[in-house]
Amino acid sequence: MRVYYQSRTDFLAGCRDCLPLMVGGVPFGIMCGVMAVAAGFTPAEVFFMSMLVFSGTSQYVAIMMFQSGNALLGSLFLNVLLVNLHNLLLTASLFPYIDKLPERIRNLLCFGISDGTYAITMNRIRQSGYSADYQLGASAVQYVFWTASNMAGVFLINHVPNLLSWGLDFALTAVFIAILVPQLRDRVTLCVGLAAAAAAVFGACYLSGKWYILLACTTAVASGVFLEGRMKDET
Amino acid sequence: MRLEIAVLIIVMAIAALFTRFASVFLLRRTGMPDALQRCLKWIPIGVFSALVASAIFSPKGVLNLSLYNPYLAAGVVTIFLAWRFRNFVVTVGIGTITMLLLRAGGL
Repeated sequence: MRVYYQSRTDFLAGCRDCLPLMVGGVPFGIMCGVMAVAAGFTPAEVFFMSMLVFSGTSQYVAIMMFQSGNALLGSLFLNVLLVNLHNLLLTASLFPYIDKLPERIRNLLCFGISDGTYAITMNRIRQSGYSADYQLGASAVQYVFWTASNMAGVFLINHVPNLLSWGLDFALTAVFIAILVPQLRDRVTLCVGLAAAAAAVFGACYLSGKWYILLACTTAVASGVFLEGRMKDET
Repeated sequence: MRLEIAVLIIVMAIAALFTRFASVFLLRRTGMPDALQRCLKWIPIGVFSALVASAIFSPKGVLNLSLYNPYLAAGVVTIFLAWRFRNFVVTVGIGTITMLLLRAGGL
């Protein structure tokens, strides 16, 4: 592992900070494994899917399409592309930080990007600056827990209650709240946040998949650039 | 492992990889224009507002503003905690426990 990270402290801090996310992530992963087996995937197939695709929403989409007998490759490709499209924005906003990293590390970080690791990496940037080792640690924990929880679902299929009904999935939302709220520190950021939230709720109700994230981001960028421009005019 | 499933997994992996690598691949060739940088700075707020708002106001994909929506109730409590205490562990810990209690209480 030494070849991949320089600062053990940062790497471990990333691992540690990712753990609260796992309270919500693990039940989600277990249910994903349960559903995959129920839909007819074998344990080995779930394992490879989880290792190679490493994307909860994509796996749910594939399971649903497979179950209904509509797993046409073209439409599956398109669906996975669409539910992951916001990754383009996440990686673009991290670009200034990861641009100068060694290629191997940069590729690992790109592969490991997810809403959760992006969240805590952004939080760390705001608190004490960017650290590739930190992001690497967080991604490693996310990756291992994701695959392990999928496999736990596969093997415990007959023994798990409906974990998602417990409300543990809310832990993820709580993490996002803990990271979002401190960013809303003045009128402009608060307005941008509210505008994006409104757009997201609209999108979540009327658009499919994860389009609501893209809609909210577009709204955030448009309102942010506009409001900031107006502030400059006033001063 | 069945061949058609292996192909299916690889197709999914390629689609997912594309979304993870395309931006960086492209930006490394073009550099980061200033205007884009000014836009991207709003992405974190956009992403987190989206994830939070959709999870608490429309947990099942339908707008649910009722008092019996536990996600909304726990969300309001958690937002208050985050604003008041600015402490990650307090916010996530008490927020999640609130949700579990609401669920256990039958909401």
